[in-house]
Amino acid sequence: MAEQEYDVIVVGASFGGCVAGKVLAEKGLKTLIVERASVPGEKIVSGTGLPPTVFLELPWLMEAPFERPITGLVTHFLKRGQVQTTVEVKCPMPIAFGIYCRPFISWLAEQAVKAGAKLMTSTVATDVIKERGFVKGIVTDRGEELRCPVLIAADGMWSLIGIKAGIRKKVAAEDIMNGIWLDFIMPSKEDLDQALGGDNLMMFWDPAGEMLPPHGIVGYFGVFPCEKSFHFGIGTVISHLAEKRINYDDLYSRFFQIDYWKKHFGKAKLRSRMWRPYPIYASLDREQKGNDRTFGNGIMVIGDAAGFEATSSGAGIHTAMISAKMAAEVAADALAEGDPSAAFLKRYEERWKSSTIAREISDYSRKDISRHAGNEEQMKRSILEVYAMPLMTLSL
Amino acid sequence: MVKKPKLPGTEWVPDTGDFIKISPDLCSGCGDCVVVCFGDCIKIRGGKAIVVAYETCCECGACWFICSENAIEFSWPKGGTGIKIEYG
Repeated sequence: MAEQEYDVIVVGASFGGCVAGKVLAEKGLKTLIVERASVPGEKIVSGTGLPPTVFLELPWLMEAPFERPITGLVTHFLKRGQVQTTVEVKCPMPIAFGIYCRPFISWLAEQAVKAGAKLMTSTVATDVIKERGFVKGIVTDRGEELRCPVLIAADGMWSLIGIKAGIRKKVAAEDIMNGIWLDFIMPSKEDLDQALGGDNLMMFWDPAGEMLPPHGIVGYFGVFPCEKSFHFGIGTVISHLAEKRINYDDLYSRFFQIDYWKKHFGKAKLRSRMWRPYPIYASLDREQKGNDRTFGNGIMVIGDAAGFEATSSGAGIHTAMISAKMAAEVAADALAEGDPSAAFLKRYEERWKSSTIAREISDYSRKDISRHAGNEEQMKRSILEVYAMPLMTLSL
Repeated sequence: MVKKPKLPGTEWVPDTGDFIKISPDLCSGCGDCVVVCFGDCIKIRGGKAIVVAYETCCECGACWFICSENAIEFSWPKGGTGIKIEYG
């Protein structure tokens, strides 16, 4: 087989792409992963809190570089610019793991390469090759044509490859969130332990909408901890950002005046400022919006590119990796049968639709919270029902 | 050559090419793309939106998502260029 030809090309060496590459290579397939960054993971931003459910499908992930296990949730409710009420829930096992995307994804990419996948970095897939209605490969920004019978698009929420292939549409601005993420570092792990009260993820809710103008979907200021550093941020729907002309610098300046923040996080030093949208509602009413396709002749779309973000928690890394494994396995079966048609690759959709992915991307509970906007007590109860109560039952 | 841009915790590699293109014919000058761009990369000049800087572009595509006139063509910077984020 010529070097320009592969069994499977994966576009995007992020969480999903690297998992797909590893699984494919382990099955003996000639696999290429194409990544636009020079180092996998260096263009990725996330919360994060990786749910441990992913270990059931991919147990080898337990060797990955995790920063901190998260075993509790601290929920603060703000009123008139201060913390009014706090609810703490602890669990006997981790509910999530704090990670940094760059080292984690770099580790994932190493695993894919060790398994035998070829990784081509600093390369943009600018278009797909289509022949007689089948996707047959990609064109790179160097003008190369790289061919394959099966393409897996793992290029994130923009899904440019899926759009070029004619099976995805641009996500609507009211279905995608963005927000500035700040990374802070504390002098020591113990300082962060003290600020958080343990291995806790921390949420600051604003039920009355005093800090952030209420929109269709209520959000929280989140503290996502790593070992001695953490991500802080709040997302808002992009259409709402435009409509309300929200200034994030003002918003965060007001938040950092909260006494609780000054007291507990006064030692935190700003280390990074960045942003990355997430398709948190890309899946709601997906079929009505006509953006439910995740496969076609010679192509499957995984992860954020397919809109696989859990609508309640906002987690998308685990669904990306689980869908990656499914797509890789279906690709291998398709190649064994010599049939990369949509009729065969439909098995990928059947698999994810009968998995936890389908349940998580159709969880409307976050909209239930917003339904109570204006009624603080009801909203607080709803928030605890959506986020804290499921964790409380875990601890029983 | 890697430059230190205005976003702490990041680096920026130049020669990205013009990866965000705004059509003056389609642009209505509404300014939504200016508002949603956290990097202040877009300004309104002569009633039309133009990209004025890439050094603070996080390649988020918010401008592309918000444009109701489909005036913005969003693609990726040349491979290996643009923002590099250490603590994402």
